[in-house]
Amino acid sequence: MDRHRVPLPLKKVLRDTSPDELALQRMWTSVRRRSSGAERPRRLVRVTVMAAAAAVLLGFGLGRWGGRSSGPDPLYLADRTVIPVLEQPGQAQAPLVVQVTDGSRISLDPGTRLEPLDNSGPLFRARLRHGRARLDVRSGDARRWIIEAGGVSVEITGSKVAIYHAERRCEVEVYEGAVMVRGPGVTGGAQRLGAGQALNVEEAPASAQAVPASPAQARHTSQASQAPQAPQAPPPSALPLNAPQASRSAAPKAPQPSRPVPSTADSQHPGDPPPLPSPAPTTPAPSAGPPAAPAPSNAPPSLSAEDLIALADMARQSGRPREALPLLDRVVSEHPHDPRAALAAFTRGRIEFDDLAEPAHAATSFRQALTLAPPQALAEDIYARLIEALLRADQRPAAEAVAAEYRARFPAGRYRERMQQWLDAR
Amino acid sequence: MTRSEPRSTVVPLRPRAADTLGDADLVARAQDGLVEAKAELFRRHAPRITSLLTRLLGCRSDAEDATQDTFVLAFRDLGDLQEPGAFGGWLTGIAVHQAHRHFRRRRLLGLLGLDRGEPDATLDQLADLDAPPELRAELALIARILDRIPTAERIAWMLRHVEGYELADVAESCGCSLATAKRRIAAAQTRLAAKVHFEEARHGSA
Repeated sequence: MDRHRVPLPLKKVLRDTSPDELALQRMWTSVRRRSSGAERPRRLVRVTVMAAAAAVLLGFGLGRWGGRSSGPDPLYLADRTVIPVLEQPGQAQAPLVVQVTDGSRISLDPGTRLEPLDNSGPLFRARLRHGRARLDVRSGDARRWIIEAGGVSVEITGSKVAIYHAERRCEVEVYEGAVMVRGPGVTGGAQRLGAGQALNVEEAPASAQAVPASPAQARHTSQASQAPQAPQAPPPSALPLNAPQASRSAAPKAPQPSRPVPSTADSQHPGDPPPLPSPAPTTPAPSAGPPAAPAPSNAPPSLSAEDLIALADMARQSGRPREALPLLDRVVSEHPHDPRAALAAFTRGRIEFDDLAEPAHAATSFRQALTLAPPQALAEDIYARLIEALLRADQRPAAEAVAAEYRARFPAGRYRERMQQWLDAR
Repeated sequence: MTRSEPRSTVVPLRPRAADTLGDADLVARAQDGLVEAKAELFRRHAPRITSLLTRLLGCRSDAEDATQDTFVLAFRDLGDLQEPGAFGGWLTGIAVHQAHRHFRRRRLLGLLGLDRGEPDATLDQLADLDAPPELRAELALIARILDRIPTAERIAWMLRHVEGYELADVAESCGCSLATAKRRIAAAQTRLAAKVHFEEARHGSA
C-alpha cells in the first residue's frame, strides 16, 4: 500500500500551540511571584526542594504500594463511614454538624436535608433539598465541591459559605473565599461571589444580582425595609451580608431533641461567620410577613473588567467556553477604554476559533480587537489569528488584504514568514 | 447570546516604551532589576517557548509548568548571560533542559506507577484541522516511536525535524557538540525512517 509521505519540518502541518492571553497572564503572575522570592540562597533552596521532592515521591510511592489511589480519597465521616443523607428535622434545637475526613465541616440548620450525589474523590456533589447548610470547605484545589439547590449549582472553591434553599428560592452567602453560582435564574447564567457577597435567586425565570456589602447599601436596605410598602414576594436581588435580613423572618422553633445522626455539636465554632437568622418559612404568615426589600433590578450587576475576565476564564476552564462569550462581550461594551478590552475581544475570537470552530465569528471578534488599541505585541497576535480565521472561513481575499496591512504596520513582524506560508498553502 | 457590534472607530495604537526596545536593551534593564523589562521579555518569548514545549512534551499543562520554570530560571540567572542579544537562544536552551527534566520526572513517576498525565498535545492531536486522516495516522505513528527512543535523541530529532532548527541551533539548544547533535538526530531518524516515509527535508541532511 502506498504510504502517505510526511513533510518536514512537521511544524508545517501542525496547528499553532501558542497559549492564549489568559494563560500568558496566569503564567506571568506565577513567574513574577516565584522570581521575587528567588533571592534566597540557591543552595539552600535546592536542598530544600530536593528533600521535599524526595519526601513527596517516597510518600507517593509508599501510598501507591500500600494500595492507595494517588488522587484525593472520597470523603468520609470522622469515623470513616460513608457520608449518608444528612437531615436535621425542623423540630431540632441545634444544628447538625458533621466533620469530614479532609477537615471540612458541614452544618445543617434545623429543617435541612442534604443528599450526597457524587463522592468520587475529585468531586463532592450534593443536593440541598431544603433548609440552610453552612459549609466550611478545606479541600483545596484537589477536590471540587458542588451543591445543587433547586435550579442553582454552587461550586465552592475553598470557602465558608451558607446556602439556603426553599421551595422557589435560593440564597448563597459567602464569608470567605469565593464561589461560582450557575443556573438559569442567575444573571448571565453564572456569577462569581466573593467574600462579603450574597446572592438571591428565584427559581422562576428571573435575574439575580450580587452586590458587595457596603454600609450605604445596608442603610438603603434598612430604610427600604422600614418604608410602608405593599406586601410582595422577595425580589431576586442580592443582599449585602450583615445588612438587615429583610426577607427573612425569625420563625419560632418548637423545642425537640435532636436526631442522633453522625454527630451533633453547638452551632457556633471559632472562626464561624456571624450567626444567621433561622431560615424563613417557605410562605411567611401574612401577619409576620417581612417588609419588602428594594425593588428588583433586572440589569446585570456592574463588574470590573478584571472580574469579567476572571469569570470568563473560569467558564472556559470548566469546559463551558460558550458561557465565556457574553462575559467577554461585557468587558468590551461596559469597559471599552479599559486596556483589557482588546484582550477580551481577542480571547472571544480564540474561543470561537479554537473551541467552537466558528472561524467567521472569530474573524469578526479579531477585527473588533484591533479597533480597541491593543499593545503592539498583542496586535501582532491578533493579526495572525485574524488571517488564520479568514482563511479557514474561505475568505482568502480578505486574508490577503489583512496580511498586507500587517506587513505595512510591522515591517519586521514576527509572523511575516508564517503568514506567507499560510497564504501559500491554501 | 448577545453579540456586540464591532466598533467602527479605529483608535491609534499607543506603543509602549518597551515595544521599541530590542532584547539586548531589555535584558540590560532586567539585569538591573526592572520588572517591566522582564514582563516584556516574557511577553515576547513566552508564546514561542510554550509552543515549543507543548510539542516536545505532548502535554499542555506540563508545557505551561515547564515554561514557568524556564523563565524563573532565566530571570534568576540573567546575570550570567554574557551576550544580552542572544537571550532568545539562551532561553531556548533552558527550555530544552526543562523538557529533559520533565521527561526524567515522567519516567520516575512511571516507575512508581504514578504517571497520571494524559497527553493532550501529541503530534497527531496537534495536526492541522485540514490534515488528511492518513497524515494523522503517520503522525500518531511518529509519536509512538518517539515515545520509545532515548530522550536526548527524541529532543534533538524534534528540534530538527519538527521545529526545523538548523543543526548548529539544535546543538546549542541541547548543550552538546555539533557532532553529538548530528549523531542523536541520525539515531532517531534511523528508527523512524524504518516505519515512516518522509518527504525530502528542505533544510539539509541529518
